[in-house]
Amino acid sequence: MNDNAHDSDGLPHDSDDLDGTADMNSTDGTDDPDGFDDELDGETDDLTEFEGDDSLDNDLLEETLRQAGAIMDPVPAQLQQTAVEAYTLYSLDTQLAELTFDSLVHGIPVRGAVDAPRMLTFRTGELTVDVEVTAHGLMGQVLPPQEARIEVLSGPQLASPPSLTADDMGRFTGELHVSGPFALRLRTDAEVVVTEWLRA
Amino acid sequence: MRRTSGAPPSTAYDDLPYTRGGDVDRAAVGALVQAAVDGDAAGWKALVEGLSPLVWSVARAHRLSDADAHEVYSTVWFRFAQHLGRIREPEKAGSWLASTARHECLKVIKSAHRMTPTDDAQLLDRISDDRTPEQWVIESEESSAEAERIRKLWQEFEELGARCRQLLRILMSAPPPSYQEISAGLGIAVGSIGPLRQRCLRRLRVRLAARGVL
Repeated sequence: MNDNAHDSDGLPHDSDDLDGTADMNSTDGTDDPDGFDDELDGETDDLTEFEGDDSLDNDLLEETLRQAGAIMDPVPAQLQQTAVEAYTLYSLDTQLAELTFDSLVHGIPVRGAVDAPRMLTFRTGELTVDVEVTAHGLMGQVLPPQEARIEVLSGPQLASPPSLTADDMGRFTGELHVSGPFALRLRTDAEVVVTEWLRA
Repeated sequence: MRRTSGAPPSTAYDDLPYTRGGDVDRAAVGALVQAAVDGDAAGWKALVEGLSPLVWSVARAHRLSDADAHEVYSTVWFRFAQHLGRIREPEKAGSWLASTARHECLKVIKSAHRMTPTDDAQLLDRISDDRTPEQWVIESEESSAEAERIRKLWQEFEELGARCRQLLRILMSAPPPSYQEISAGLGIAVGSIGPLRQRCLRRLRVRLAARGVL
């Protein structure tokens, strides 16, 4: 891209320092570590008609886009209300079990296995929970092995969530269909642990 | 490349974000996070209102369907509530949210059997189907020309190359996101955002000019 003609713009320069600075560094388009230019190349010829300094125009266009975005693709109001209600999920009394393995991220894809189970591992300092989510339900194990009551949470507003019981080997299974955001709340003899929210 | 500008030839990508208007609002984010940590529900609500458009824009920038975008958005906020007392840099909550949203989006895309691409026609139809208060105002004031202009602008935006569409979708969230937040939401270097913004906006302007929309 050739931006060399920017000096002939005639616009007051003190008004465009912000983007003028950016432009200095944009150089010639060869510095493209992220591959963002892949789809830009085809249109470079069009740009010759905008050789002047265009930072003011760009600022205006960005603001116009912002208005358009608020009209054409706003955050759905009901959805935002869910996020407001999510404050009830903030708790200092429960231990957080962090996601340490997710087959979607770390797993090796199995050829042809479209419905391969989702394998998840959550950990606190002392406790590990292995979970397998399939189309049929949920199964897993609490380690070290111990009995626990496991509630399956699907949002902030559920008074009595469905629950499973882990046996004395820590194993649990249930025909609970899990979809969308979910978290497990484990009640052991010693503590309450909640797994990080994620999307099934 | 500008050569006569008095600005020093820096380097200054990292400075740019701090000069954007949105960062005035973002300065309050750290205080709101702290308020929410201390039990102030109003602080939490203000955080949700201020940063929801950013989270939503990350999901949309990844071209998720309505259903998937809803789930990603919810998951991100649920997890943020969970982590609230553990956020180490409260003032960077926006970047945390954008980054978490991005990672959830990538998971959605990876579990391809669940992915349904955004229905463009449906998006374009929103102005008639799913009217926002702003749209009602536009229509009630009989400024249908303005509505038409916005619809055309949106159409041209939607037809940009994937990379520009992605960048601009996040850039347009309100209040304006910082470059750190955009970087977190897209997984690109902060330093590449300024130049990309220039190019993508210019590109869009060319398209709009060609259609006589500007």
